[in-house]
Amino acid sequence: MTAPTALPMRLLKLLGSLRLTVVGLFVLLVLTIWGTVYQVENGLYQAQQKFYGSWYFLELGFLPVPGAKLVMTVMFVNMLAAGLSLALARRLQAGLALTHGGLLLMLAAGAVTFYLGEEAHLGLIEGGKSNSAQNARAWELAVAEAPSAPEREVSARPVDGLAAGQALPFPGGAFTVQVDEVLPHAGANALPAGAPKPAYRNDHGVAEVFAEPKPKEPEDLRPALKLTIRAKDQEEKIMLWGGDDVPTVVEVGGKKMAFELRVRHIPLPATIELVDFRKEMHPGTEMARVYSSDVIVRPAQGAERKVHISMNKPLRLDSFTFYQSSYKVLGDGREVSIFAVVKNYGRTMPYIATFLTAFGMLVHFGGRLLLRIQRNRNREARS
Amino acid sequence: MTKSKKTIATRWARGGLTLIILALLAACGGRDAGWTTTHEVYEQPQAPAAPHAGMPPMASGAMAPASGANLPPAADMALQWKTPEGWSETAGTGMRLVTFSMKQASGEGTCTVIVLGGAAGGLEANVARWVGQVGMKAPVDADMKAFIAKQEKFKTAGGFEAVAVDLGDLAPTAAPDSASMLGAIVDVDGATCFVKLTGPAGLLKGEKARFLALCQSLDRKS
Repeated sequence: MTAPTALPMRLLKLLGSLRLTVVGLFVLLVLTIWGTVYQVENGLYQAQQKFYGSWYFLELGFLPVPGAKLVMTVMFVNMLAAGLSLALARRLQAGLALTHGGLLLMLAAGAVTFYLGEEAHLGLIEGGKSNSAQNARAWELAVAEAPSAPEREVSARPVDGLAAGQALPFPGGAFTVQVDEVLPHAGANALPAGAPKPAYRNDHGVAEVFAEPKPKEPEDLRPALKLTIRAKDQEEKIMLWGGDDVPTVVEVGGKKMAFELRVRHIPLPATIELVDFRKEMHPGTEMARVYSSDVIVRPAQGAERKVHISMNKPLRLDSFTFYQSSYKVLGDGREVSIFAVVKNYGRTMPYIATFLTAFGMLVHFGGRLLLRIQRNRNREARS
Repeated sequence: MTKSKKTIATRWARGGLTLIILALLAACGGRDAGWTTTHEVYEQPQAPAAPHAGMPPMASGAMAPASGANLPPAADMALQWKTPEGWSETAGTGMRLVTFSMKQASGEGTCTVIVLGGAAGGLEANVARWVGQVGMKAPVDADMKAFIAKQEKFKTAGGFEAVAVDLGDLAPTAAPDSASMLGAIVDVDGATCFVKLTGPAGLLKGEKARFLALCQSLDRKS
């Protein structure tokens, strides 16, 4: 081998070193145990963010600790480099290639879930139905024709990414939404009786919004927007706050349009209607032992079907999985069934990855076993 | 390097690069920056005795914060109150009518006013729940009854029956920075109004008079 190729090969071997794999697996083990213990005191979200969603974090304020994102990226590179160096050395047999491919796919599945997956909730009272789930960690600006109706067209766009000065032409071109101010988290003051009308109108009665430090939990975020709605020969200034109970209605182009800041609505591939919610209590206590829901799934196209969802029997619908998460009893005694809805495009990837890895190991070790048997037979034949 | 080795290396490199580009494209594609128009279906049966006044909300985020789910809104209870001096008021959302916050040298506190239909669990069950929320040890049944019997009962400006509970009485020797709560349960025309002030015990001692004044000021909106 010539000198120029020696350095890349050495680098490839270093990156693909088995020692790096072992260290990576050990750090992942430590992070998993540490994160599980941390979750008890600080909640699931904080633990997810600190240990699994970060490249690194500082412990005791100064000690950098690698996060699972960094460790898994390093392991992906390690696995890729190991496969490449074996291939270049012409030692990459079919079984090893399959196993490496499976492990790479497993790590890629983690990335797909992390970057493209979304978690939301759906709460339904018996008889209630919805074709969207809510992600309380993200907000969107939603606009629909007023008054509200059980079925309507809603145009929405994420609040993340909005900046003062942006002009957002509304679909159809009837008006433009000009963003005047964005507050990621805001408090609000009500309009005192007899006070002059504020420059920005709010139908909930909010007179002013003011920036506040972001809360610990993203579910507690309340953003605020100041907008100017511009249509032909018309301009109206409105203020929206995440705590508004009612949307702010503006008449533009002969239509009443309701503007609202709301938690992100994720469209579902079907309308889910709750038919019946059941719970069984532990004897003599108010603690639920088992709870489950009967729902009707009505896809946009195709026949409807009745599905039973219980704690260990989720409903799988395209890239969505619906878990029976919890329930709530309203003040008037009605029960709300709450589903955790997980959208994950890479849902099937871990299954394929596990199959590939297992099949690769079977081919590799099975092949070696057959080779050994063959050698033993040859040896016996010679003797 | 031989030709076959070069071919294998090139194939691996191309494959890896394609994977990375696809992952980047997919990640960028997930961050939609424009308007998305969808046909939304959202319908929840209304409570028989408490229809929501005014325009129905758009399955709003205001319903989500308590649990992250799109729970139906509480009835509009139309209450009014007098904000205690030094407290700042924030408009409420969903079942929460209003939130107050206050600050002293001893720490910061938050006071919420929430209305639920019916008895909402009753006095004892709610006090037991509050005790758990601030990390105190719940008294045994007889002690709990005695504790509740000692608490202040009064009528508000609107003539509503109310009971104010000071959880600090359960831990009189607790450190001033330990978590505590002042709570009041007010019977509002068959519904239940909860007023809860949470914060360090030291702050709550200083704010108790203002908390009671707030509870006593509760009235029907004129």
